Amino acid sequence: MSKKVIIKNIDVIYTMNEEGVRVNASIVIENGKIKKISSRIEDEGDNIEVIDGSGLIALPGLIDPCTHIGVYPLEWEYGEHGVEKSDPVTPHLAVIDGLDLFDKAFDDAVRGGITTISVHPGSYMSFGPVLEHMTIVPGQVAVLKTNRKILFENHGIVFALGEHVKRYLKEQKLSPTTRMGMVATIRALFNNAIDYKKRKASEEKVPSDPKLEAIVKLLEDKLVAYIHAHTSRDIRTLIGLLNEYGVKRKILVHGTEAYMVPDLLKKYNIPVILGPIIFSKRGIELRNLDSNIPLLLYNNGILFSLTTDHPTIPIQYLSLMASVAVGEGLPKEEALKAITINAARIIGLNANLGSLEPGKDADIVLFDGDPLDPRSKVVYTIIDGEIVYSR
Amino acid sequence: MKALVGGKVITVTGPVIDNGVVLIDKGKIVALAKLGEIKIPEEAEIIDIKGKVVTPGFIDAHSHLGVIPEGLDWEYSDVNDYYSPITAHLRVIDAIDPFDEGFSKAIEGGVTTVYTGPGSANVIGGIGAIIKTYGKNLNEMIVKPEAALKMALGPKKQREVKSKLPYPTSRMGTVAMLRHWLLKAKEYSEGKYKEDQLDPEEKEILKILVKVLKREMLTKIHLSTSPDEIYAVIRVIKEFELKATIDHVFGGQLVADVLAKENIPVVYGPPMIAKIASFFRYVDDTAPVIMYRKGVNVSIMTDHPVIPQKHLRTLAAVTVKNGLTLNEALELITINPARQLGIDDIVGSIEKGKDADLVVSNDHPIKPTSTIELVMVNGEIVYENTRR
Repeated sequence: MSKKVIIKNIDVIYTMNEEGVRVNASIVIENGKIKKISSRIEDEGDNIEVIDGSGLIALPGLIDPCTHIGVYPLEWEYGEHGVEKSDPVTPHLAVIDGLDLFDKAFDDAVRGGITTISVHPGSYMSFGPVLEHMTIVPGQVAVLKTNRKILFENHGIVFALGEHVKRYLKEQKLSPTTRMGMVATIRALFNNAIDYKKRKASEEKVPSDPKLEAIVKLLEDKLVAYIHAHTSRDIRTLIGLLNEYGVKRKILVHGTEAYMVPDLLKKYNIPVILGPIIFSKRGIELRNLDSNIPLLLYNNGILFSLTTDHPTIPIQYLSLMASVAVGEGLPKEEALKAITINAARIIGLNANLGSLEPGKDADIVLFDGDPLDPRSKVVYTIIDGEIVYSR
Repeated sequence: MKALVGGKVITVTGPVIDNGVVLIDKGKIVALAKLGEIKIPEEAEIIDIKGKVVTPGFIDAHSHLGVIPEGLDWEYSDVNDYYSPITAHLRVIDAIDPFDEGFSKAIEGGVTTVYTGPGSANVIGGIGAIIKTYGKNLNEMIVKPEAALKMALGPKKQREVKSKLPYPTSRMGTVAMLRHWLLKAKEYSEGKYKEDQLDPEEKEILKILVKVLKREMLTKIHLSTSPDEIYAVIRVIKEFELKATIDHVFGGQLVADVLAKENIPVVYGPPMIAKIASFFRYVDDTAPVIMYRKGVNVSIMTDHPVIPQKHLRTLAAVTVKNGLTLNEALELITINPARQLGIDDIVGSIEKGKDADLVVSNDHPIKPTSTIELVMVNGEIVYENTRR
């Protein structure tokens, strides 16, 4: 029998689609999906779970498309769990193979209303260069709901350029040591992958190469390219390189200086997973980091979402990042989009996530006040129609 | 003379005045009243802040502003000197760059006064300064050039540079070294040392420690991560009767009763950091809230550049997310740090006679969605938001 849930008499529903804000309405959920949003009084049958939404404000479950949850578990041993030290080019590594699903950060996430996260390989941004670890191609991104349901084991491959990578390779006594060398390394990888694909098509017995298999998938548009970069020069270089090989889907991550290259990002339709917007400006590549960057991207018409880069900023403070962006002048509606529908759009999951409308997953967070007011509390977090947190 | 007219005045120490007037002359607040209940002198420049909120300028009791530069690599930092684990005679005032970008950003975030100090690599790190975040030169900014002596618990690391004394490597070793030097200073002040028994640098260090023992100088004791260190700090404070604050206080939620009973002020934070390793297991953002509720004098720090200086109010919002009211959280970045630093006679609240360090916002400034529109330091408008 199908499971039905009604969240009734919700004061305000931010649908995050063209419908905008609905007041005094109910959300009807069936089999984990939103069936309808209704202003009528809905039947409450015997087998229907009823949640009282009066006094509450509903938002789509929040989405953070760049975290390290489960890879750097809370209260765990200190270390470099997100990077493979033996090799700076590892497109075949998947974070999902080293992800602790019992990391306490999952609990913090649902308490903070976050229902979907991406987990990236590489390092979080830590205070002090000694703790910063990053390689050129650290591996593949996974996408999960915070009820631990895996949406994508392999969503995309991370490419990184910049100070962190240079410093880390130097520390590990690895090469290349310059940006030029790193680009040449990535180019060699792509060239080898093209060659490998050709040989597999024409020769009978070609031994498998997991690294090149991963790049072939990227070239065939089965994976997304995640560009981890802060400075405008690194952003420009990696976009150029990926364009050279016809990589279709590209997402910029961190993107501290993305606001300096808006035309480039618009021309190639590259969205930005921005942030964290509150972080130490240690190092030259972060010298332009400021919490007003969301406003600058918005003013330039660039699609962006906000990230905590957990544990850089703890996951539960994702909505606080949106609040801070509003304080800097970003319209509230846009700040809410940046942690819901725009995040879903960027990672290509907007058919199921990011807004409250019939047919989409019933991932809903209910606050007892304005979601961007620090006094407001999350009262319910619902994923696929199930309450995963209640206050 | 200036008059801020028509705003909601959150004085912090007194009642909130709706539709108030704040009169400012020669850098000081000279009068404060409800509109209509005070005569605004004709010569006063009227600043209409109807519909706005005015609060005191924010104060950070633990920062490294101007000592660790913004946007530069670690090599440019002057916060820790590995010359010796005991460097009481190093002064931050000799290393502050008043033109660092962090200062203008601080002003943008409403932060008008900071204690900026040396780091925690040494057992006794040196002397920190209290400065305003605005001034035409460093001298103009200084409130107290030698404000507090920084001490730091936790195991220390022997660095690659050659140090004068070996660094203690255990937590108990650090406490023992601290106690040894405080005792030595006590005995030095009692004349137990012959002058020729001590080298000039040692004497310099002991003279500073004597000031601390005489409670002429505040001590700021850095805690690395855990509540057992809070107990160790309390033992040292009581043993030597120090005038001290405990800084960071991770795990403070577990010993809030003790801190309240001993009446020791704490500078918590920075909030909003993750439990990134097992030694951070006691980090919990409810700590400042629980300590506040138990009656501890709590302020919160950015530990700039760990969290950028301008986001002090964002961190205050984190305490609201964890249970404080907006006005309680405001105390954590105004009057409480002012009292901890011994500067509550001049800053920390909107009161007659205090410095006119004021922040005007379009809503309560502890709401991160609010925008700071005007900042005043010593009665001078030093920032106006021109973005909108």
